[in-house]
Amino acid sequence: MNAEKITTGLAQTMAAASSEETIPIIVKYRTGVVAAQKLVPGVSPAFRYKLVPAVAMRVKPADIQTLSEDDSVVRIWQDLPVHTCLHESLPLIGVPAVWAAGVRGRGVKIGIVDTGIDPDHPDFAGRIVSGANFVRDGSSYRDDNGHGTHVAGIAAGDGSVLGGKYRGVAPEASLYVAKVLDAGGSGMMSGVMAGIEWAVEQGVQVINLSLGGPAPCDGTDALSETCDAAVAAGVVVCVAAGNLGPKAKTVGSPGCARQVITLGASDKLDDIASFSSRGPTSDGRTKPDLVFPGVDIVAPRARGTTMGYPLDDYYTTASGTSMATPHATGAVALLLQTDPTLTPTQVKDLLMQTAKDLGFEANTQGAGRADVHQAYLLASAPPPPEEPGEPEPPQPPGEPEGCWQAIKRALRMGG
Amino acid sequence: MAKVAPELLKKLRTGGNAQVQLIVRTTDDPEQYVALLEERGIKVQRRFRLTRRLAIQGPAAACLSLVNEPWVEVLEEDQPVHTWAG
Repeated sequence: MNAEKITTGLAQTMAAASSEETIPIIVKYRTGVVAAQKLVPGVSPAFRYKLVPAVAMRVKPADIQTLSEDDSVVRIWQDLPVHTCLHESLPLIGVPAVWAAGVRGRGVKIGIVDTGIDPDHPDFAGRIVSGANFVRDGSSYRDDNGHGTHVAGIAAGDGSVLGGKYRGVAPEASLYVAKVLDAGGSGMMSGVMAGIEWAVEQGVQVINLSLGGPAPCDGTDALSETCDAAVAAGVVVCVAAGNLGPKAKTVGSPGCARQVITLGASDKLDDIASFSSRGPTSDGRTKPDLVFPGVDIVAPRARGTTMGYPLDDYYTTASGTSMATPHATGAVALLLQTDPTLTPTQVKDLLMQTAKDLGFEANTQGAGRADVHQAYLLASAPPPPEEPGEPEPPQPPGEPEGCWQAIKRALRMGG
Repeated sequence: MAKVAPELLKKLRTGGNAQVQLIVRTTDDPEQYVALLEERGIKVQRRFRLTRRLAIQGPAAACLSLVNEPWVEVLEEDQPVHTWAG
């Protein structure tokens, strides 16, 4: 073995691995990559790079030793997971700038309708107000899957385990948790509907639904109509579009509901995740409404669960429109703290009006990738004149009404 | 939305005593139909308040009889849902 070609981290992994265990590696060659298949019989490269003469593959420790002895091989690294930590995804959408204004979701009630939550995770300490189980009525709402805890952490974890490193979007919001999905992450529409009704009765202001069912749909199914009824009751409902992309017409119920905010997933480079479901709905409406980051997101891990790719006892990495959706839910909480009088329609319009156009078609990106800071600025702009029919005050020459004020006025009047 | 999707209608017609889980939307307050459903051997599993709906479970043949009820607006299958994380 030529140890000089093997990175220290890979050498440590090899030492700890069994002889039959395969290790993901990246091999860099002097020129070309043809020799790779000759050197490791039976192993096909997982990826061949074009900009550098390298391949990615999974091989046994003995194969790495063999590779290191080949003159054409320059270097061998362990292929490591990459993450879009919350401390990366949140700056991308402008959340820290909103925190800097003192807005962190305080006083806003978020409903997490999912697999439950780990009530002992330090990132939620003192902020889980209530919970209920609709998988087995009367049972605990403790998360036995891990998905709900991850979702809740993105929306409202305070990141206290690591000094705020993995802080969620609205770290001071209150949480109301309906367990509607079982340990396998599955449930029935009727259970989700019951969870939504419970959350509405608890007085939540925004509900997160990182779940879905059959696609395509037209928004007239029972679950979609329940979501629209929740919106009509004054609750913002954020729904995952689904992970059935990139084909068209893959938004599942209740993502096809008319009044909800339907979320697709983008990555930290502002590309759309290939898995993110695309519209239109089966009755021809554009969906999703927006995209938020949803690729390789690090957030709280429920004790005893293995959902995603665990980093340690407290955090795990996962991807999906499930992860994009709680970014939106947290953003809604920030906007509602800013202006509690906003209606669900106004909240949706604020986020859509201020989104960054990523250049994809509407049924892929919706209005674009959300910019929470811009939405906050618009929400915190001075209110429009109260009395209807009152003539607009004349604008001083050379001082036209600010853009945000004009848009906000239009939104308030239309909403 | 059709009162009953063709696939569900076929399932109810051929299902006999097989148990099916459905969601029924009624024309008015669903509470008044609970007793009627139970008389037919159909169990009401959940009552909803945001919309006029009941989640029910019963033999396919008994549920088929609901198709012709004037107070039944929509009959649909209770579908599985799941998380959207990869």
